[in-house]
This record gives sequence, structure tokens and C-alpha cells, in this order.
Amino acid sequence: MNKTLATFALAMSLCGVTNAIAQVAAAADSLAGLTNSGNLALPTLTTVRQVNELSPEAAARGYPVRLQGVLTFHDWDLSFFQDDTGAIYLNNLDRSLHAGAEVVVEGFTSAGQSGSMVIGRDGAKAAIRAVGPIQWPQPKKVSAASLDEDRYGGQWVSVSGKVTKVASAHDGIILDLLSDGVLVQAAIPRWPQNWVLPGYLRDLPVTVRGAVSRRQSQMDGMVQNVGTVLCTPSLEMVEVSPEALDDLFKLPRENYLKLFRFTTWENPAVRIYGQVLFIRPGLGFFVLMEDKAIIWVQTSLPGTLMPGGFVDVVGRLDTFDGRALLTDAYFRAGKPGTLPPPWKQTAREVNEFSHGGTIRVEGRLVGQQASVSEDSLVLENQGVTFLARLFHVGNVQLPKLQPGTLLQLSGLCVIKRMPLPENLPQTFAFQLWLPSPADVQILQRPPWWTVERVFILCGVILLLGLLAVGWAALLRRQVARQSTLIASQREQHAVAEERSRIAREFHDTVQQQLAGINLELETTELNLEQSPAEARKSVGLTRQMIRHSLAETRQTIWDLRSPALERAGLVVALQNLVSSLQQSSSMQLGLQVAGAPRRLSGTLEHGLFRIAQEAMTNAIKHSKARHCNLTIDFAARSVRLRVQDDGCGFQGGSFSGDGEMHFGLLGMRERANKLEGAFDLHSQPGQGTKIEVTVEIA
Amino acid sequence: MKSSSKIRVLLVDDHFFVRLGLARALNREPDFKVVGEAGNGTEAIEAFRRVKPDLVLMDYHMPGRDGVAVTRALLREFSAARVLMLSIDEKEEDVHRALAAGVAGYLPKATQREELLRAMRTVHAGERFLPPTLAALLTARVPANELTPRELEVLELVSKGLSTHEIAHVLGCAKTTVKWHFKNIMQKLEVSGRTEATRAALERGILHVE
Repeated sequence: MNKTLATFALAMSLCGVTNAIAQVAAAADSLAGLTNSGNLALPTLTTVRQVNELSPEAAARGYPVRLQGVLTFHDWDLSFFQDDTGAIYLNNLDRSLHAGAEVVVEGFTSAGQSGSMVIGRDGAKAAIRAVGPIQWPQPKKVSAASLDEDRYGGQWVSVSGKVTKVASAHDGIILDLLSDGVLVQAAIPRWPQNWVLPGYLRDLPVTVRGAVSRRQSQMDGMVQNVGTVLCTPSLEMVEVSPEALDDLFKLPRENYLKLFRFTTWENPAVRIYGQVLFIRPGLGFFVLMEDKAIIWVQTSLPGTLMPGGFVDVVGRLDTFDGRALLTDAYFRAGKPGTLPPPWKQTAREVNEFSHGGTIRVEGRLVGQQASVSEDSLVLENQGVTFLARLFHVGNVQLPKLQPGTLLQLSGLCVIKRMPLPENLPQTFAFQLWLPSPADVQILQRPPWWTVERVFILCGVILLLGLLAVGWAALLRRQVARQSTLIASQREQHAVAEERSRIAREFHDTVQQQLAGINLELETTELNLEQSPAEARKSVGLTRQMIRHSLAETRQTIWDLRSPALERAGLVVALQNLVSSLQQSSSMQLGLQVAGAPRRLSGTLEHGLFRIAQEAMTNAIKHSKARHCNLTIDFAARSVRLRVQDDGCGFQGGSFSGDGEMHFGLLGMRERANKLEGAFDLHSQPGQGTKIEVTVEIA
Repeated sequence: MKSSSKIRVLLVDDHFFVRLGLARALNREPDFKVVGEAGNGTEAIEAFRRVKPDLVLMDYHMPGRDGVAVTRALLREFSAARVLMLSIDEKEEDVHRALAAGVAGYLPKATQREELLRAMRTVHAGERFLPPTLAALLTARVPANELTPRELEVLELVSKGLSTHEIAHVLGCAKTTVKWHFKNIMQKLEVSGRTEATRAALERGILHVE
């Protein structure tokens, strides 16, 4: 339709008579032009008639124009201007201007395809500016049959007829009008897309105002008029005959139940009466009928309705979803009134029993959505989910609400039957249409613990937990690695210490002893020549030395093979020593541990152990004692080893009796000396022997 | 049997075998008499004060203070004391240290009896005695004091088997510093590795088996 309209071009085809007049005027003008020496002297044209009467040649000369009048149509790409003398097509489509405005047009004349035009300087568009409020001119009453006449081109006219068809056309509507057996089309622009068509006009006698526009088409280079369309700026320009309306409202008022007497397939016209419940502009309104039934009236009839006000409606009966409704309705607003207060219900009650109406219901907000045309709230109450909608009229809008908020809502309950499987719960079975944002009241703010926040919190806790676990694992690994390192270092250190102890043992003991033996052998050699007796004594001594050395070495090697001392420590080693000696001796052997037993350096433990071993072996071999007690005393800064027997004892300092015991004692003293410890020997014949070694520990 | 003509000897050695061997060897000589024995430095000094010997046979390695330290202590108290150092091993650094401490002679313990007696008599006569082998060793000696105290520390830790990382940790310095010190040590000792450095340090007496 728009395309069709877009091909419209105003044709100011003037009739022959006016043409002749125009030619005469042009001739006169050209004479004036000659006398006035050029275009600059051309007079300013101030009426449409002056412009229209110019010949194409005269128009082409570009008369200055200043017109004052009304824009009768200003939409699509069509603009008509009208003053008291006539109408003219303008090519300026300034969107800030609206039809009905009083304007001043300034420009120059130009010869158009089908008549004079007003354009701006150098082919630009003519300047149009509004100078006054909307003031529609009086239309010329024209019969449909004479509309095609040239003299009505562009003119603001009114045509009466009966509406036979209402159709949509892109962003407007087309009314088909039958007038005296002639069909006239009226085009009305700017019809909102979601609005219902004004079907209520069908079959009604109306008077339509509009600007006459020619539909043209180009054929073989010739522009021809192929039809006439009335350009009607708005639906307000369509006036229904009051008599016809009176006839319409002569129908009897029906109550809701009575409506079901009618068969709806032919959509009979019926009349109802009631209070306006809820208005949706362009779509219709709910009416609370006298028998408390609620009916939807579908209409886009402009009018002033207020909720609660009474309304008289005539419309075509239809049914939808088992409910009666009126379509293409015409209405007359009646006296104002007040609606009954909302009926407070739970969502479940609404779902099960209510047939709609104004209700008040509570619900917890699940979600909120806003579109250009409405705010919608998804709410939940006792397991029933429902939708509350606030249709945007003007700047009405709901603030953003927090999910979980407990709301009380008042509005129209609209039952929507959803074709759902039987065993599924009826979700969105009803909707609540909210008249205004004030009908949404917050009863309770949502708890801080929204599902989302709980999830976030859980996520954070989980993350922290994972981090902690990861950190712990990392730490454990590090500790394990460190421990292994420390253990291996300790082991290395122990091995190194043990190796160095063994080296010292050989270096100190074996080497030194061999050096001593070597000296004695040299002495023996000398003695062999000089004194056989001395030599024999020397050999004896040498043998003793070697035997002692052998025993020492054997012990050292035995120590190497039994690492009990390194592993279990001095106390355990001494326990083992005592119990193993006890097995081969009838002497009563004992071990006392005093103080705070602890591990000592390898050298010290070995040294003390060897002294204890030597002392106890000596006691068993030589003392003939009944008891032998070994005591180890761990003091804070020293350790003391004591071996005491109740045996025969010997003369202190004199070792004449037994060489081996002599060597043993010297060996013990030497060991104690090596440990930098004090060695004490107490022995008297018959009074037993006490050996004590005390080593200070730094 | 008191005889002023005999050289009175104090034996200082922690090994009674050695003391025994020496005592028996010396006591059968007409011009020597063992007048005292000591097993460590403290005993040695006490014994010296008591018996005022003409000559001290001093062991190098002893628990506590070693022979060098005891010699120093003795000479501080008795400047005329004649000390002949005996050692189980002959390392250039030991010899150097002993001579620096003021000993009059130095002998390995494995020395033949005749040589030992000659040395004792030489020292008692107021001269110094050093076997030719040790004298040669000493002249060829690379002075260990070319090693800085820090290098000595590093060398000691190396000999204990510590890694570069551990040494750095013990000394509280960077690993690179340790490596640099060790490079210098290797250069000075003319060796090419840790084991060789340790062996050289022990052989030459820069370090001792504890």
C-alpha cells in the first residue's frame, strides 16, 4: 500500500478554463516582467490560486512565493497544503511538522510534470514553518463520483459513505467506502502495529475528511491518473453518523449468560453494559458486567475511559477458549464509578476456582523481565507460578526488584488455559494484569541468602578449600622432600663421622701401637746380643703388645660389623653387652642408667662403650667378684661411666701381677684421655675395683 | 740411680705403647733416662714443672691440645726447654707448624732407633735436627698460608664431603662464591678436583683427620 501511495504524485491538472486564464495571466506577467526588467522584479505570489494559475512557462520563471495556510496531510511521502484559494502539493517532508498545523511556505514557482510547484532556491525544497496551532479548514463536501474531477485535486474534502472494508496497509489502514455506488478508498497513516483494526466502523455510515490524491502511473512516457485516494490524516477524521450510532445503541443490553443464546459463527452485534475494569489502549478493555461476569471488549476506538467508569458497548459476539468476548466494539462512556475492592486470594485458589476479576495475591519474585511494551514478573506462591504484567503506558515502569522479594499484587486476574499434558502442573495458568506500578507492594525484602549468593559462597569456600588442600599437599611434599634431604644429610653425616672415626682408630691406635711394637722389637734386637734374659723379657712384652693390639683391632672390626651402637645408642648397646656377658659368667652383672639418657657423639659413645666392655671383661676375668655393676649417669653437662666390682682388687699403680690386665687398664686410661675425660681407678686388694670415667660435654 | 751426666727425658704421648717402647729403648742407653711420662698436654706441662727434663719427646697428635700447642705453652713458660717432635706421619705442613712453634727437631715415629738417639743428642746439644727427607719436603713446600682463612674453611668443609650448596649454607654465602674460592684452592694446591684437594690437604698436613 505504501508503495502504491509512494507512487502518488500530486497532479494539479487544471481544467481547460483555468488553463486559459493562466495563460492570459502568464502573458500579462511576462509583459510585466519585460517592463520590470527581469526575474528580480517578479511579484511575490501569496495565494495558491496565483501559483496554480501560472502557465508552465511562467512557473518556470520562478516567481517568489509566500503562502500561509494549513498542512492538510503530511505523511508517507505526501504533503498537501491548503489555503482559502486552493491546494497544492509540496515536496518538503519535514518530519517535525504535523498535519493540521498552520504554516507559512516560502519558495519559488517551478513547472512540475502536472502543474506548478513551489520549490526552494536553486531546486532545493521550499521552506515550511509552523506559525499556529492545529486548525482544520472547513472541508468541501464532495460526492464520491465527482472526486476524480480535476478541481478537487489536492483539495481538503469530505465524502460520506458506508464502510465496507477495514484493512491494514503497512503502517497504516485503508478504509473502503461505498458512496452512491462508487468505491472510494481512504488511507490513514500511523496505525500502531499491535493495535487492533477499527473494525467497528464496518457497515457504519461515516463522513471521512481528507486531501484528494491522484494515483498515477507512467505508461509510454505519459503520466496518467489511475485512481483517487483520500489521504486522511487520522481516524478522528472519520465521523460516524450519529443517527446510525443511535440505532446501534437501540439494541437491548444483554447479561453475560444471555450472550450464550447467540450462535457466534455469524458474529452477531450485541450490546452490553458494565464497569471498565482494565484498559489496554489500542487493544480493548475488560468490562465487569452487572451479573459479575467479566468480558473482554476488543476495540481500538479512541475515547476517554476510566477504570471503574460505566460503559455501554456494542460489539460482535465471539468466543475464545469457552468465553464470550466482543470484537470490533463501539462504546459510549457512561457515568463514573468505583470498582469493588480486590478479592484477596492465594495463588492456588486463583488457579483452582477463580474465573478472573480483580484480585490481590501474594507471591515471591522468581524473575523479572522488561521489554519495550511491558514489565513482566514471574512469581511463585505455594508451588503455583504465575505471571504479573504491567503494560507500559507513557513512562510507567517498574523498578528493578530483587529475586526472592515477597510481593503483594493487585490487578486483574486473567485466566489463560494452556494446552498442557494432563499430568503436568498448570503453570502460568493465570496472569495478573497490573493497572499501575502502585499495585506492586513489597511485603518482604529477599533474604540475603539467595541461591546465587549461596552458590557463590560455596564456590568461594570450595576454592579456598581446594587452595588449602593444594597448599597443604605442596607443603607436605616440600616437607617430605626436605625430610628426605635432611635424613640423607644426617645419614651422610653419620657415615662421614663413622668413616672418620674408623680412620682415626687405625691412624691412632693401630699405627701408634705398631710404632710402639717396632720400638720394642729394636730393643729386643739389641738385647738379643747383649742380654738373652732381657731379650726374652722383651719378646714377652712384644707378644703382649701384639696380642693387645690384635684384640683391639678385632674389637674395632667387630664394632664395624655390629652397628647396634650407631643405631640404638649407648644405653641399648650397654644392655646388650651386659646381657651377653651374663650368658657366659656366673657373676651377678647389673646395669643402672641414671639421669636423662640421650644420644652422644659417635666417638664418645664408642669410647665409653669400649671402656665399659674392657672394664667388665677385666672384672670377669680377674676380679673373682660376685657382683659387678655398670652405671651410666647422664648429667646435664657430663656423662659418667662407672664399673664397680666386689672382687679381689689389686695394689693401685702396680700391675706386676697380670700383663693383660695391666694393658687393659692402660688402654682404658688412654681411651678416656682420647675422649678428653677424667679416668679414676680405685682398687685395694680385697676391696674390689672401681673404674670411673667422666667426660664433660660442651 | 741419679746421674747428672744423663739426659733426662720427658715422654709426652697419648699412646702407652709408644711411651712403653720409647722408655724401654731410652732407659737401656747409658746417657738417657726417662724421668716422666704424660698422656696429654696438661699432664705434660705439670710433669715438666715437676721434673724439669733436659729434653721433651713430644707427640704431634694428642687429644685436646696437640703437640704444637703444648710446645708453645711449654716454651712460653720455659724458654730453654728443648722439644723434639715425634709424629706418626711426616707432612710438610705439620713440620712447618712444629718448627714455627719452636721445636728443636722433628722425627717420624718410624725412625730407626739410632737416628732417634742421634737426633735427641743433637737437640740436647743445642742444635736443630731435621732428617734430610723432611728438610727436602720443607724446601719444596707450597706454603699453605697462601690459602686464606676463608679458603681453609671451604677446604675443610669440602674434605668433610659437603656439597657446594651445603658449604654455601654453612658459610652463609652464595654458591658462586664457594665455587670461586674452590677454584682458587685447586689452583694453589695444583689439583683438579674435590677428592684430590682433600687428599693433598691431608697429605700435606693442611688438614688433619680429627
